[in-house]
Amino acid sequence: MHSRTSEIILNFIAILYFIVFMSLFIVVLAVLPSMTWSNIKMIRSTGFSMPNNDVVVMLAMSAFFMGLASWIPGLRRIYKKLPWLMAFFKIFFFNSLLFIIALYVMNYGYSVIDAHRNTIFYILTLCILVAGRLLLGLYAMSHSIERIGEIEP
Amino acid sequence: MSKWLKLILPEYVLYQIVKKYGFMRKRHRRDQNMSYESETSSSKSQHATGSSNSRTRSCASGTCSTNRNHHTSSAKNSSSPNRKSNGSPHPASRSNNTPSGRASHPGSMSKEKLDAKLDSVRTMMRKELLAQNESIDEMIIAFKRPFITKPALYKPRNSILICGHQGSGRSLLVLKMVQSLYKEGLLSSASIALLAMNLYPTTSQKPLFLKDLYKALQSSSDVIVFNNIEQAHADSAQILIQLMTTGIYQFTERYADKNGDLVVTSDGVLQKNAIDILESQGKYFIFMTSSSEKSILEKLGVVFMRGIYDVIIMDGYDLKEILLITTKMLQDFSIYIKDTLRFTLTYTADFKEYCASKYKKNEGFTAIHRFMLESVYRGIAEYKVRHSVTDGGTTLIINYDKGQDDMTIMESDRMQGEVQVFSIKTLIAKSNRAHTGVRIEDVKAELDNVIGLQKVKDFILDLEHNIEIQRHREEQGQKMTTISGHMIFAGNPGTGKTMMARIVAKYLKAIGMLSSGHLREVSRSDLVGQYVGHTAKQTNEVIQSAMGGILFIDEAYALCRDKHDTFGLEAVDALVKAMEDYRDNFIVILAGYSEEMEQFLKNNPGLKSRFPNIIEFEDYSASEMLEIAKNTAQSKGYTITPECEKGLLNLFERSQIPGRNDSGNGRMVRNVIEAAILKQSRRITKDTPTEAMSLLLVDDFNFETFEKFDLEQQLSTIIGLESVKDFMREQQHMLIANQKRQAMGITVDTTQSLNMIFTGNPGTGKTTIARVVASMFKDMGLLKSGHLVEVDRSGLVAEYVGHTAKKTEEVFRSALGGILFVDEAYALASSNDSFGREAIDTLVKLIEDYRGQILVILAGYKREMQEFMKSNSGLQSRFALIIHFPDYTAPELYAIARKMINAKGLFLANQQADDALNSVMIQAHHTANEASGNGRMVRNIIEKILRHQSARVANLEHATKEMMMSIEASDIQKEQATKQEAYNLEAQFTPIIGLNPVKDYIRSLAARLNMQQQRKQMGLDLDTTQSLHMIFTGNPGTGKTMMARTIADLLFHMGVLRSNTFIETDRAGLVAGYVGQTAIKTTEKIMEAMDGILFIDEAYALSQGNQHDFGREAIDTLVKLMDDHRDRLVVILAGYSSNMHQFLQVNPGLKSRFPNIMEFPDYQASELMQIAESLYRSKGYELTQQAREKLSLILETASNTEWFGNGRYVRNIYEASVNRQSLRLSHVAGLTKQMLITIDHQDIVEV
Repeated sequence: MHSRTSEIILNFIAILYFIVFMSLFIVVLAVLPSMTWSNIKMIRSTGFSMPNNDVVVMLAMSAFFMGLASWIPGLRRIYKKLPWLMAFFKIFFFNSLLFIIALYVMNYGYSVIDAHRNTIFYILTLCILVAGRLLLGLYAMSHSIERIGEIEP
Repeated sequence: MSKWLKLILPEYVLYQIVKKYGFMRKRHRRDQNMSYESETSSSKSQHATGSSNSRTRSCASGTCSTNRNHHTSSAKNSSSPNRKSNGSPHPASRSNNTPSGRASHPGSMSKEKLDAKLDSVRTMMRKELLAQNESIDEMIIAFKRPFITKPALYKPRNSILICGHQGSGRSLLVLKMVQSLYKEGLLSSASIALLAMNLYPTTSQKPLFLKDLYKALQSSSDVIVFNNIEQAHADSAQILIQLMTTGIYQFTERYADKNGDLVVTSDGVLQKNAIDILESQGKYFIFMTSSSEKSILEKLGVVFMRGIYDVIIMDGYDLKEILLITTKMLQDFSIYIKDTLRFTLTYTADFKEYCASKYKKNEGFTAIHRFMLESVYRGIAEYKVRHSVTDGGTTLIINYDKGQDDMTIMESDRMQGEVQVFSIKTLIAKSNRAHTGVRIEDVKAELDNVIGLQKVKDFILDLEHNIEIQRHREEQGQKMTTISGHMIFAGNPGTGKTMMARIVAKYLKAIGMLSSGHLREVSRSDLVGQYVGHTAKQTNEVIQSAMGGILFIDEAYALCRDKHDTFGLEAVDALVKAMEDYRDNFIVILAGYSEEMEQFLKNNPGLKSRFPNIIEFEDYSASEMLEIAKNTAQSKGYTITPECEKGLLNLFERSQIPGRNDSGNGRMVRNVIEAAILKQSRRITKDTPTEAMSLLLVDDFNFETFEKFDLEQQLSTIIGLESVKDFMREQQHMLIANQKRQAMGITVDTTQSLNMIFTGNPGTGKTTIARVVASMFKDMGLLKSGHLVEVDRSGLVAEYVGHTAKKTEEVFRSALGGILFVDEAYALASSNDSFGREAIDTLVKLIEDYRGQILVILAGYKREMQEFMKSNSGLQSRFALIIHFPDYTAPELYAIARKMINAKGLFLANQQADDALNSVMIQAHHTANEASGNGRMVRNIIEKILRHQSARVANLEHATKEMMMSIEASDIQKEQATKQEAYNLEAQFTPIIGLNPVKDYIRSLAARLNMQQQRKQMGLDLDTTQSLHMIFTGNPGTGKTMMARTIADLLFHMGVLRSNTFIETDRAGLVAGYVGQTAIKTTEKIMEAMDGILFIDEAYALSQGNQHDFGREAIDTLVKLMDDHRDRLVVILAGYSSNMHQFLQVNPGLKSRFPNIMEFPDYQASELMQIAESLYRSKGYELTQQAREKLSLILETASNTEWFGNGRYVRNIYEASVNRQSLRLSHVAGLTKQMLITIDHQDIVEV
């Protein structure tokens, strides 16, 4: 009787946590790479760097709230209920991180008005992106989906 | 394939996972388990039928303890001495469950024998009841049924519903039936257990009901009667339904049997006498109701009706039957009289008929019974008390005299003397008992005495007429419909609601609508309990106490303020239920303020329909109040002299402001009279008491004395504002003209919109004028109280959605009768401010609703107010009068300053001081802008002067009183001097090497500003349109930033700018990363630099980039704000010469805005050398000659190259040389001071 009530309460807390904190950051994680990519493109088109710490903050908060849920045993049930969530978190977190690193490289290159330097850094950025994506792909390829999603058998 | 896809698109993994596991994982194991459980339980129940029925049920419920307790309880039951009829062991453990198992029961008797016995019962019953033959037959069938159908042992033997109104003989039928059946041996007991269901109206009485039910079930009687089943609470009904249909009720709490009582226990299930089920024990359940079968079906539901096997509807009585029964009742009555009064009673046929005529359809024979007891018995008893009658043996003859409509009694066997006839009416009238009736004439008179409230009176008369008509209908045998008498009295305090309720109670008693006619006056605290579950009980108790009268709930809206007030809601629910249950027995009157009551009814949708009669108690008019005042005084033994009437009328007139409910109406009148009485006694104790002790004179009333309002006098205290004053005079003339027209009886449309708009800068006297307007309008009789309520946006707008309207309304109401002055009103209409708009909309609506009761003044800056008026079309039409308050002129400011100094009790020492003050004011006027605050600015200056004066006086050793109060010119001039510190431009220029053309330009600028200042002081016109924005072009390191800083200082000291704020920024400081952010960022930067200089380095970068670059947005924002704050901001753009020229070409709009373009030429080698030397010197180094030469050479060559960095290059060389020197010296031991400060030629290198 006792365990059932506590089970219900825990479920309720987990659902609440998911709705209040995680749902937003799932969306944030999903759109972060494209946002960052648009920033990179904008830097390229305007020719001026635009240091942007917002994306870093967003990524950090996403990682914090998503990570907290996987760390606290009571909230881990969210990941158990939604089998795709852990994989989503992993892939999109690294993806976003990759893009942010690329953005920083791009910004660094564009902090000086110099066409030659700008082009070099733009290419470097693209290279970083492609290499990073390939690494991520390798990880996805080499591990079974169970390992990526961390779903118990 | 998918492997490679994963390599390229790692997100593909997500698709795979969702495909494999689904979007959400299902609870596989749990579900399987559950289905298994349900299967097994259903299969169990399929197997277990017949004898093991109950066991199956207990197993299915999942607790095996149930079964064990079942046994315990049954063991207890079987050992109970009460169980005579059914001494059998537990039904579940018996294989034979037919009624034949009952000991000493004729269950096994043959049908013939049964029929014979029932026939004799029928004969007996008919003899007893005289009527209701059909009902008796049905009843016999109902009792016969179980003998034929043989229901399961644990189920009730039969459930019977008897429908019939009060006094229709239901109880008698059941009673006689049980007795007869017992006589015939068909029942084991003649007793009946009775439960009145109306005693358990709420959930909190459920334990009580269970207790009573348990006792009834354990009792020896075979029949349990549930009376008033229609009033059963849903909980109780549910228990009964379970008992009827399954024969068992499973407790939800733990109970134990304690000496035959059911008690709640917290002990474990293993307690010896624990009980967890109720069994129906094979009893007859009889449900009695006074409502129809249909309404029972509606109230208790189909499930209940399904459990009923026999429905018996009591027949109506025809005249013959009524007479028969009356005869029988009279026989009983005679016996009663014989027993108590020792009279032998005989009666005539007329009397019998008269008694029978008291039979009422809805009350039945109870009415006859009551008549006998209340009228006849009381009369006879009175006779015995008042006359000497021998005890016993006296025979009384009672007769009804149709002609006189009276009953008479006489002694039949009085031998001596005449036979005396006594009228019962007179006998009863003689009795000393209190009057219970109210004479309708008295109440009518009382009602007529009430002043005003015609609506209420009409409603009560309507009620009376209806009652009369209904009575006629009843007499003609038509259906009588009672109309709902529940009322809501809505009105402001003191409008006589309570008094009216009391009269209504008496009135309704008098016309026979209420049986008792008392007024039970309660409030929230009487109805709402302190603990959960107490409220319904408490409310019910209060309702019971109001039965037959009126339940008057004062301030009823407090009962339930919102949906979260659970206690209040509980009380309301209990009330609503009781209103349904006792529809004809009492009347509920809710009283409260109109608006709050409306809200209250909205919160409880069920209430509105139950109170069809909403009676508005309007505020009394002044004349009504005067009338009340006279009555009140009279009732206290005082008389108001006619001279007071005018004053009182005036007083009452002003107190009655529609929309405000704080005047108190009747209560206010009482207070006024009581205050007057007090004052009168004070007056009389001073004088010698005379015969006029009961007279209230004018002096006794504290009438407000109205001085004649003198506009000119009021205006004379205000300095300047001639246009406003003229307007005020005009307005006064208009009002006077209107008054005259009215006095002459000419009706003109005077509904002029008087709401005003005051535009003008702060400190121009708007509030002061508003106060004058208030007192003027009050004097003219246009405003009743004439007070001023001053608010701004924060006073109207609330923090949360939906609260604004409420807040605005509150403020508005507090200002009713006076002036609502909304300062800075334009702030309400700022963009994206939905709350502000809400406030405006509310205001507009309220202004319309309370036209003529209030005057609204909106105040603010002229331009902003114009835009504000455009924002809401409703405003423009409602605010026709726009008055502009111009800024004060210098002489006006001076006059204000003089006035303020005088007001503070100080004075100017001499003409010099006077002149100084004047000049300060002139200067203040010239430097003033819209924000500096006019009058308020003067106050600030005066305060500063006072501070200086105090400082001076404090240092004086022997100061006379005069000296303490006088203001010297020095006090004033000090104020001037502090600002005008000498600023030496040349001193600033000295350390700057080169840049002569720039220096020249700045010198000329300084000279020009100086001239302007002179002109300003002379009061000459100024060319303020001159733009000071500049562009500095030149290579890096040519001193642009340094010069800009110098200009900032210069402009500040010349009084052009208010501060020497210098904000340096570049493209990154103005342009943001996302669309729309740039303007915000730029604005922020500009605001930071406001009243100072904004220096934008590398400004050309703003226009580089492509079409969609945000730099353009920054430029547009900059240009706009530059224009808006022309006199508060100087912008300096800097950059490479060529880039800047290009920049200006691309943005032609900029060129005109930056007329001053200053070229910073590259430094000459010699100048660079000077810079270098001064740099080394300032840092404490010395150059050797060789070093100097080398440096000169380096600078010479460097200055010929492009992009060499000018001053910055020198600095780089300096830093490199210092580094090298340190490196060189680090290997040397024994350093001297000279070595440390000397820079050698080795140290100097090209960088």
